[in-house]
Amino acid sequence: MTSVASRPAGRSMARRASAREGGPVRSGMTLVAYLFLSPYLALFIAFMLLPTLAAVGISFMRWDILGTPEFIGLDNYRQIFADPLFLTAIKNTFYFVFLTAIPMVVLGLALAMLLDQKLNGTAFVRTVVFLPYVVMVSTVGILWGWLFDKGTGLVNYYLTTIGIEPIAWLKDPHWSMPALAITTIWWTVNTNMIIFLAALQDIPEELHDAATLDGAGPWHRFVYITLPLLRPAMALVTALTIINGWRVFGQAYVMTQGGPEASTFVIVQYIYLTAFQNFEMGPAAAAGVVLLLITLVFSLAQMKLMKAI
Amino acid sequence: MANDVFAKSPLTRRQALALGASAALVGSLPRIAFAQDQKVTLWHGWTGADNTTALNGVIDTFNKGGKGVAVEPTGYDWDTLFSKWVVSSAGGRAPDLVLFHITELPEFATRKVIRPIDDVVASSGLDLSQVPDAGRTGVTFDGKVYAAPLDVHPLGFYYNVDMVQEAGLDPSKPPKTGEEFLEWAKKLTVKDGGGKVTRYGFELPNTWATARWIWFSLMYQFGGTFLDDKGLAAVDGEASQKALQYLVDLINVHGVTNPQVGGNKGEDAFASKQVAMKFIGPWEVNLRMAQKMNFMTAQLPVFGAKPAVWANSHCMAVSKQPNEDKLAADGTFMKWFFDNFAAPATTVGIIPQSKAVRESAAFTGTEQYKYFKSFVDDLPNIVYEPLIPQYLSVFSFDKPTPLVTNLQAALSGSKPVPDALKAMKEGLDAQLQKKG
Repeated sequence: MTSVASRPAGRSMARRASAREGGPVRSGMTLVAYLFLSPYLALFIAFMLLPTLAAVGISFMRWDILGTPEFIGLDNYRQIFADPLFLTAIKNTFYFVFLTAIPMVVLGLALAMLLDQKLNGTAFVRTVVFLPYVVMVSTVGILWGWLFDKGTGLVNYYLTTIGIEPIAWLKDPHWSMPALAITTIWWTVNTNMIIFLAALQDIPEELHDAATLDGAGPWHRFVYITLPLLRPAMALVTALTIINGWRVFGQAYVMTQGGPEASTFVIVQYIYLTAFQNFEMGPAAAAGVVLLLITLVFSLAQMKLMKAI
Repeated sequence: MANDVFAKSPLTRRQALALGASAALVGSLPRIAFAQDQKVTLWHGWTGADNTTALNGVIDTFNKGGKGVAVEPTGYDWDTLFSKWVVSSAGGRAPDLVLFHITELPEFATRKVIRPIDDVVASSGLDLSQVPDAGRTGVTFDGKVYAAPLDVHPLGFYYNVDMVQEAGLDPSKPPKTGEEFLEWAKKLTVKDGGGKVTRYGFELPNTWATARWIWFSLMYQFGGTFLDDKGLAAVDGEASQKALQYLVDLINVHGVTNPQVGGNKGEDAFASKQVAMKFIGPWEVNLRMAQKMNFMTAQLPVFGAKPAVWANSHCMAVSKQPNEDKLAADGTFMKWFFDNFAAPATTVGIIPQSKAVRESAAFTGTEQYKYFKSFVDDLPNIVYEPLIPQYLSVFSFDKPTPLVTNLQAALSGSKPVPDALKAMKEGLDAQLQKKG
C-alpha cells in the first residue's frame, strides 16, 4: 500500500522538480497548452492581430483600395485632427460613453441582484431580460426608431399620458444621443447582468448569514460584503462597458445615420464613412489607431483605478 | 435497418438503385438543357421586398427565354453594394453587371471599376436614341458611354384627396405656384382648440434626403445652380438662399410643416396621415395604393421663375475586369432589360427612360399610370445633381456631410440660412477639391 501510495506522490514531486527546472515535462505541458490554444490563436492572429498591424501600417499610407499604397508619414493623422467631423465624432462618442457607462453598470448590478432572489419564475424572468441581447442590431435600431417616433411612437404615447409633451427623440439633436443611449442600455445591459449574477452566486451564503447574526441589515450587507466581493466583476463590467461604448456603431448607423446635425456621429462611423464611402483607407486607418489608443488609455486608467480601490 | 426496409419493400435493392439513378438523371435534365447558358452576375441595390421580387421575376423571364444567357442577381443595400463592389474590383472578383444611379457613374468611371460600353451598345443594338438628352448625357463620361440608362425618378407632389376635400379645396386643381401651394398648406394644417397643431399641411423632415431634393429643386427654380463655373459650390448664392429661406419660412413663419415630423419608411408622416401633402418620387405610388389611401399626384408647383424638379436615374454598367468574353452576354441582357422595362418600372415605381417603353401599353395601361403621368409630364423639367467624381461623399443620404448637416441646421433653426449655406459651401468646397 505504502509503495503504491508513494509512487504517484514521488512522480508528482519529480514532475514539480522537473517543471521548476524547465525540463521536458514542463515543455511538454507548454506544447499541449499551445495546441489547445492554437485554434483560437490562429483565428486571433488571422482576423485580429494581422489586420490591426496592417491598419497601423495603412495609417501611414495614401491608398484608395484600388491603387498602390504610397507612404506619406503622419499626413493622415494631421488630416483627421484637422477635420472638424472627426473631432465631433470623438466628442459624441465620449458623450455616448458618459451616458451609458454608469447606467449600464448600476442597472446591470440592480437587475442581477433582483434576479438573484430565490423566487418562483426567476429563471423565466432572467431569460426575458437576456432576450434583447440575441436581437440583431438592425432589428433593434428599426424597432426603437418606431418606438421613438414623435407622432406615432409608443414612448411619446406614454409620456403624453403623464403630461409630458412629445419629444422628437431622433430628430432633435439634443435628444438623439440620449435616445441611442436608452436603446443601447435596453439592448446590452443584460450581459452586465449575467456577469454580476455569476459573481453574486459565487459569494458564500455564510458571510451574509454571519453578518445577519451580527445585526447587519440588507444595506450594510450590500456595502460591506457584496460590493467588496464583486470588485473583480465590477472591474470587468466597467472595462467592457467603456470599451464597447467607444466602439458604438450599429445603433447610430441604423437609427440616425449620425444625425441630426451630426449629433450622433461616432468614431466608428467616421472610420466606415472614410474607408467605404470616400475610399480613403489611410485616414480611416489612422482614425482606427486613435480609437485603439483611446480604448487602451481608458482600460489602463480603469484598471489602475480598480487596483487603487 | 436498411436491410429490413428493403426486405419489406416490393422493390429489390437493384431496382431501388436504378430508380434513384433515373430520378437523379431526370432531375438534372433542365441543367443539362441550359448547360450552354453563359452565366452573368448582376449586383443591384433594389433591396425592398417588392423591388427584389419584381427584378427577380423579370430576370426569370429572361433566363427562360432561351437566349443562352443566365443572369444571377444579388441585391445589397446601396452602401454595401458600393463598398463591396469596389473591394471586389480590387480583388478581381467584381460582378459582370451592376445597377446603380447615373449620378454615381463619374465616381465609378474615375475609379476605373466600370468600362465604356460603346462597343456593347453597338453590337447589342441597344437603342439609346430612345433616351432623352439628359439621360444620355448622364451615362456619358469623357465622351464615352458607360452605362445603359434605365429609368428616371423625379420628385413629385402627393396629396391626400380626402383631406383636400375636407378643407374645401378642389383635388382636381392642385396648386401650380408657390402662392397656391402655401394657401393649400395653410388650409390643410389643422389645430385643436388650444392652438396645438394636430396635422401639418406639408411633410418636410430634416432626416433622410427629402429636404435636400426639395431645396435642390427650388434652387434651380429660382435660377441657381449647385456648382459654379469652376466646379465649386454655389450654394451660398441668392437663388439657393431664397429656396432654403422659403422652406424655413414654411416652418417658422407659416407653421404649415415641422421638420421633426416625418421621414423615411416607418416614419413616413404622409402614410400615417400626420400630414396632407408631401414631395417624393414615384416609388411611393405602389405603397400608397397598397395602403388604399385616397391620394393623387401632380407636378411639382413652380415656386420660382421656372419649373425645375430634382431627379435621378438607375443605369446598368459593365464592371471593368477580365470578362471580355462575357460582353456579348452582358449586351444581350442589357438590351433585353432596356426594351422590357415596363414591368420592373411599374412595380418599383420609376419611369422608363426609353420613350418606346414609356409610351407602350405595357406601361400606360397599368392601374398605376394615372399616378405616374404627372411624373412623366415633369420629365422636361428634371435636373440631375452634378455629375461629379465625388458624388457619394458630397450627396450622401443621411450621413453628416457638410450638405446634410447644414441643411438640417437651417431647418431646425440652429443656424440662420445665410450662415448654414456659408458653412455648407466651405465644407463642400473642401470635398470638391479632393480628387474623388
